[in-house]
Amino acid sequence: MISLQEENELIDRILAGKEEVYARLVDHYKSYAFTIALKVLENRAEAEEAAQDAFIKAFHYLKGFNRQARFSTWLYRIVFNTAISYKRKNKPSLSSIEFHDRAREEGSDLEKDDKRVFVSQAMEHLNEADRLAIQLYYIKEFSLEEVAELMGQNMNTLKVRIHRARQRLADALKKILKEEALTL
Amino acid sequence: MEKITTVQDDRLLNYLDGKLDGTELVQLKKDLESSDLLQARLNELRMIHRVLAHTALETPSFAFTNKVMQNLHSKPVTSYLSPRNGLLLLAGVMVAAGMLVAMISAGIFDDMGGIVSLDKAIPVKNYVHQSLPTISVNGKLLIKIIIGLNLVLVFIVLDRTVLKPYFQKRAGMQL
Repeated sequence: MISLQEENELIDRILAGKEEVYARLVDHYKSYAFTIALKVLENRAEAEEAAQDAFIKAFHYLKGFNRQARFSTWLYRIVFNTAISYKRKNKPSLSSIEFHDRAREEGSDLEKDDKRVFVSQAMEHLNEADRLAIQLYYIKEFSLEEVAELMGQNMNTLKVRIHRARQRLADALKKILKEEALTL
Repeated sequence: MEKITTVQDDRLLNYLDGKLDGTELVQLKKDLESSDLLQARLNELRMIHRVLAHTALETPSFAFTNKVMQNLHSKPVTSYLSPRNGLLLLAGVMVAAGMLVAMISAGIFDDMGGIVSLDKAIPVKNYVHQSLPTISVNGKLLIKIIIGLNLVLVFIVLDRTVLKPYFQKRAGMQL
C-alpha cells in the first residue's frame, strides 16, 4: 500500500524527470485499473489494452493532476473513460459469452460456485449501465462515493441505481432457480 | 397476498451494506422475526450480496508494467471513428469520387463554366460605386479539385481508422 505522502513524492520525482519511477505507480494500481476496464469491456485482451492506454494517458496528463483528489481516483476515472471509448469503438464484443463461460468454468461442483454461475446468469437480465454500476460497487475497497466519482454520476442517483439493480437481480435469480428446480 | 415493497427492499439492502443504525436495525430484526416473506427476501438479496462481495481483483498479464513503460512516449491510442464507421465513410467518399470521375468522363461538366460578372451576381450597387471584377470559372477544374480533396479525405480516413490502429496493435504485440 502506498501512503498519500509516498504517492506525492513519487509523482514529484516523475515530474522532475525520473520516468522509471512511474513503474511503481503502474505496478501498484494495475490490478484495479485492469479490473475496472474488464468490468466495462468484458473482454480481457481489450481491457488490458485499454488499461495500458489509460496509464500512458495518465503519464502524459500528470502535470495537470491537481492533488486535491487522490491519484487513484483520478487514474480510475481515466481508465473508466478510456474503457468506455474503447467499447464505443469496438462493439459488439464476445463479452457476455466470455463472462458466462468463465463463470461456468469457475463453477466446478461446489455449491458456492453454482451460486456464482446463477448470479452471473441473472446479471444478463440487467441493462449495461446497471450491471456496470453494481460490478464496480462490489470491486474490493470501492466506496459508493468513489464509484459515483468514477462513473461521473450523482451519488444519490447511483445509490438508487445500485439498489434497484440488486432488486432486479434478486428477482431474476429467483426465476432462474425456479426454472432450474423444475428441470431436476 | 403480502408483497415486499421497495421501501422494505431498500431497508434490507441498507442492512446488508451495514448502513442501518441502532433503532432501524432493531425494528428490522423484529419485522424479520414476524415475516417469513421478508426473511425469504433477505436470503435472496444476501445470496447476491455475498457472491458479488467475493468479486476478486483481476490480474493483468505479467508484462503489463513493461508494456506501459516501453510505450510511455507513444501517443495514446485515439481514434475518433470506429473501424466500421471509418470503412463506411471511406466507401461513401470513394463512391462520391467515383461518380464525379464518371460524370467528368461522360462530359457532363464540359459546358459548365464561363465568366461570372460580380456586378450582376452581387446586388450591392447602392454601397459599392466602383465596378466589380469578372471571374472566369472552369467547372471541370472545380470538380477535379473536389475529387482531389475527396482523395485526400480518403487517405486521412484510411490512415486513422485502419492503418494507424493496425500498425499500433502490431507494434504493441511485438513488445
